[in-house]
Amino acid sequence: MRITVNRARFFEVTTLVGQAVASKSTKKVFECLRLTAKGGTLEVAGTDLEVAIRYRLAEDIEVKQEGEAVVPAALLANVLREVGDERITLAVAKQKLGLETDGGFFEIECVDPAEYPEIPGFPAAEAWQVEATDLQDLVRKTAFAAGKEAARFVLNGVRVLAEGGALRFIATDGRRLATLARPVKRRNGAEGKPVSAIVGVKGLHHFERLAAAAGGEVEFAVADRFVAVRTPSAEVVARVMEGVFPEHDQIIPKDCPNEAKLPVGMFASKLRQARQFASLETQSVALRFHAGELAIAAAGGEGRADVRLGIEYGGSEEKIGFNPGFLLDALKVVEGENVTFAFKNASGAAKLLDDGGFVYVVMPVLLE
Amino acid sequence: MIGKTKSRHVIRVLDPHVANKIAAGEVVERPASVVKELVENALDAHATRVEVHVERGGARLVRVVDDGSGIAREDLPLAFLPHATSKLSDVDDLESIATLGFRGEALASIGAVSQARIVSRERAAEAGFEIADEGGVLSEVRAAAAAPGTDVTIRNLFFNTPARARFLRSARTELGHIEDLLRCFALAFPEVGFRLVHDGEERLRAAPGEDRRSRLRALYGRELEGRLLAVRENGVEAYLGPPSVTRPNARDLHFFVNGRYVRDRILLRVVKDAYRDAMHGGRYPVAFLFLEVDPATIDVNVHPAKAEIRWRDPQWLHAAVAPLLARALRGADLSVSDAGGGSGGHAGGQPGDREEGVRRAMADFMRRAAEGHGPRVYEGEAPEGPRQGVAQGASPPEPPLLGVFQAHDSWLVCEVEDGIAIVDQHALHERVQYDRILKRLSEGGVDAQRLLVPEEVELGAADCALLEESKDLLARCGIAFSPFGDRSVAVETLPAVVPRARAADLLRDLVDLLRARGGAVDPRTLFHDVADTMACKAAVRFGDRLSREEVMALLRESGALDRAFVCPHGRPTVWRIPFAELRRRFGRT
Repeated sequence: MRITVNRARFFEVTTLVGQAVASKSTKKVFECLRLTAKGGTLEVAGTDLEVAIRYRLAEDIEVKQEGEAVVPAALLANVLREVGDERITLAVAKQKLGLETDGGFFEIECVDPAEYPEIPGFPAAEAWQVEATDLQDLVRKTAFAAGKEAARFVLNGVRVLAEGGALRFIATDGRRLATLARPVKRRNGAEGKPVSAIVGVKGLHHFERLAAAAGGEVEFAVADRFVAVRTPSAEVVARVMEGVFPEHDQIIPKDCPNEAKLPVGMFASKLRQARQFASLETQSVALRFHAGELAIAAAGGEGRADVRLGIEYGGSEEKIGFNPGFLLDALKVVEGENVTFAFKNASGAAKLLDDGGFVYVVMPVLLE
Repeated sequence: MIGKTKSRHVIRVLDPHVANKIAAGEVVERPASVVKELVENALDAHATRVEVHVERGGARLVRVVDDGSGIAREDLPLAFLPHATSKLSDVDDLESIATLGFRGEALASIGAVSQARIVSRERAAEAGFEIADEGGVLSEVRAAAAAPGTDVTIRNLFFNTPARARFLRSARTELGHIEDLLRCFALAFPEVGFRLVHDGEERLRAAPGEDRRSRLRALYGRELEGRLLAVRENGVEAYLGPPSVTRPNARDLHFFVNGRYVRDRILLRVVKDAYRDAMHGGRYPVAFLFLEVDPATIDVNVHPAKAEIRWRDPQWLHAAVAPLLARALRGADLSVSDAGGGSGGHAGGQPGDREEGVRRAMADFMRRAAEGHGPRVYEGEAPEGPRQGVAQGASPPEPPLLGVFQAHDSWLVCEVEDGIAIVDQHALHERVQYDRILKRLSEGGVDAQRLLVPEEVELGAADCALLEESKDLLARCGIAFSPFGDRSVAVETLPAVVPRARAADLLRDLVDLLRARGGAVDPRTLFHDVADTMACKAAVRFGDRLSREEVMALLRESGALDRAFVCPHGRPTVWRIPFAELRRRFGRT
């Protein structure tokens, strides 16, 4: 293999793909990127077996000889960062990658390409078309609600569900649930069978990053063992998690007679004020809904807070406890100036809705 | 053909030889078990001296000679018969066993797997008699020359059960077990003299007529004995090691109930609880605990080896014994002190390093003070006028804190009444914060976070029943659940204070606690980890410069100079150097 490539662009791609690679592993090959020069392009691929990224560099590149190499990701990126050349030449011989720059020469020990894990291709036949901004929204507004170290392993992932022309993401850690749906279409216009899978949060964040970089429309596919996203120059493949995910339809409460309309910014600000006093004993705040007013109270060893804000509310007078963190998490991602907050009583699930179709269910804290 | 098959499977009563060999497997596990049974017999016969001779770790020879009451001629043939005993006559006696042995199994079992010989002479008798048992075959009773008492010789243990013989470890290991055992007997019976000889070499000697303290000194060394805290109250006699001396396992925890050495989980828990404030949860103290209880309140007939007991009322131990020990520990000065000199410091620390560190800090301080820009020296508030150790006149109840300075923004070096104390500022503040957080958590109720979907936790029927009994207690910790079939519960709420609690982990921990403490669970222990993390974040760090007011507040609030603690991770917070030690170091003795 022998190629000449734009250094800045190559560095950018190396860093991006390098995010999928383990920074420390007992097996060296898992710390490596695979470079493949073929047909006038250079493909940079990386994987930690959970997520794989492939990126094709097609511009400002000259392939003099095709071939491949498996290179330690961190070392390659560090060298590329430090050398100032506009273009550099890569040459592989006897499992050593030579980097030729104006000011010097570097030789990096490589790993046998045969050892590199196989990365599945993009299943184009299963693909749906989705707006890149929609895909970003789907991840941003749900992944935060996934479990961090939940006992039920699947709760550490997000369920993706494509059916009836919509792509829905659902995430829950057992205490709250976030879900959002966005329109998708098959390339041939057919509706396609409904598909569902559970994906780890790490893979989703790569989807989000890829979509943000590409813009326009991207392809999204759910296959048997993995979920994948493709843009004109890159692909991300994420392994799916096996297991049974709670049915969101059964969790989202339907009987919520009390409904309030809350100004997002003010609500969040008041919650943050009150939460200072809910630090330890309770980690919870009490929301008291009256006609036209919401009072948020918290008390702990450090003192107490009682803050109020004007809201649109015509339901019965109710007092409910919540972990303020759960509410603030959702307020960070909602669209529009107001949210709808609907609930039944102090012990039942409450739901928070925004103008963009986001649904957030949060369980109360039973106050002492 | 059918008849033949049938005859192979017919149920038969085992030949007594076979039965005894099987029973021997339970009673006689290794040479130490033989020693145990024989010494117990000697003690039950009111011996005042017991000599144990062992060859090749006991595999070749175990001989136990006592000066006890002896066995009458007509009783000798019965000694090797199973379930023949002089200590029990009817089933009611089982309710209140006052002797060490009682099952009547031991000699029969030992005789079945060795070449045994008993020579015995009753004190009043003029001559002795002997009987032998060769792998279960009894000899005639013959007259023999003997001193008053009983002399039992066991040769070639397991000579006829090669499978068991193969499991014997090296002579050194087996001897180690025997030594441990005799040390326990010697502690339990300080008035009896013991001697252990192995291959002609004396391994242990304890003179008759001693008291427990001198036994401890003789068996475990002057250094440890000097640091043990004695408690004697209410049928409880305990010698508690300082919390700075820790062990990775429970091997140096010795429990004796009515003179019987036992391994007991409940007592282990009681002792660990007593040390809870002063020792990291993963380490074990050194302690000797002797309990005298009504024999009717325990059941020693749990296992043939009699090393386990069952308590009729384990609650009593938690209610009566645990507070007694905890109180004794709290009252004592348990700070890390090198007064005794030498080993046994906290596991992680090198006393040498510490000494070196202090020496350097002091030297550094002196130099910088001389140069006029040293660390701030805080004058204590207690003494007015000349410093003479204790403040004169109407001395305030405050600890006599004389002078303090902060060295390297990390250590507080304090003058105290009897020398110098050095405080790890982070560790001590962490401990103060930890106690405060736990107190707040246990005073206020704990809010319950409801779950979207109840989480099923499989625990087994017994544990589910146990949790059900403690439902109210759990509710106070923010845990609500309902039965989910016989073997599982469905958890509906979890404590809000532990944001990422896993229902299964919490409940399993709780079940362990409930089982170990018989329902008397302090719910706070559930929050140990949370409090630990919070305390660590809230504490001043190593390297934070503290103002005079902050230093004084920390020392006063913690009372660190009166009592010592360990931080939540088990490191000591205070190191005290008494005058005696300072004088020794400077050659002023």
